[in-house]
Amino acid sequence: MKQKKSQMEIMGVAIIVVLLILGLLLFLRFSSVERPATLKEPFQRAELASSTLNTLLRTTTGCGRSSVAELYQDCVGPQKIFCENSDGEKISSCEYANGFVRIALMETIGELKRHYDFRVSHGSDGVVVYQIGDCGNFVDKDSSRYIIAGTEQHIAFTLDICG
Amino acid sequence: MKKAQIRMFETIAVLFIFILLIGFGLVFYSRMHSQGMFDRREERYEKHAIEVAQAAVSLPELKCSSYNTVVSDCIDYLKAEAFIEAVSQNPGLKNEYYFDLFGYSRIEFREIFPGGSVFVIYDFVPEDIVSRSTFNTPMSLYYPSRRTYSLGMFTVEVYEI
Repeated sequence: MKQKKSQMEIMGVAIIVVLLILGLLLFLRFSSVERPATLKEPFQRAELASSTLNTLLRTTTGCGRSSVAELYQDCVGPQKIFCENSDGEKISSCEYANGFVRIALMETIGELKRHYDFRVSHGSDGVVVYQIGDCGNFVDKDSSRYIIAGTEQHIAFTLDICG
Repeated sequence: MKKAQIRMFETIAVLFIFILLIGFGLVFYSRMHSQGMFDRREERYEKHAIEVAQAAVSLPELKCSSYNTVVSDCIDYLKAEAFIEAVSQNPGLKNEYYFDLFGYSRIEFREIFPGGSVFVIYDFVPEDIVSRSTFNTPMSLYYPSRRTYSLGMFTVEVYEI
């Protein structure tokens, strides 16, 4: 009779220990789950990549009435367009376009505290005309790519929004 | 101490631990449940905010077009001006038609290059705001008279009440 009673007590202790372990496991399981990324974030990143590139390329610059895309077309082609910088000096379409893009990206994506990579390349070999950005080793990124015809070879514009 | 008293303490201790365990379980469950409800509410609100942002970005009243083709990510200056004037002259438009579309939100366009003008396209800010969700996207402003595109930022701020 006494042995049966002590057996039951041990059973009770065992049940409590099992319950404690179960509770601890459940707590660890749910507390370590990372909260899923919000819906807004991927939507905004994808939207930002395409709209920035679309908008940037068609923007009328201060170099005549040329758009950014037209300046790069001239830059990799005939190089007939010359622009004036803020100091009134004459500079090539390439220099002007690069400076314009750098400031425009800084005042749009940069203002939103986003990391980005912008790249202009031309030809089938993908010769890089201009590259700017700080994406580095970010894994999450959304890209937008736009290809236009140049005088001899096509020009590819790529914009990655990272983080 | 008598044997019976020890037994009683033992029983009370076991009961205490048992009740403590149940208490912990209940607290844990209620926290998980309320977190789940908060997440679902947040998700619903974000979906609504995305819908409003998409509706605002693709509003035909403002969009640029070229030979009957819609130009993406672009606002026509003349259309925007006419829209703002029409809405300000007809409060019913804002309070009924556009409120159904945008609810409590603020939509504005801020020119970055070359000018610095700001257009408030829609503005319905509630008095008590629980939270707000902001969408920013670069957008062109097209001046049909000059045929130029300026660079700007389109901002949609959706409020939760």
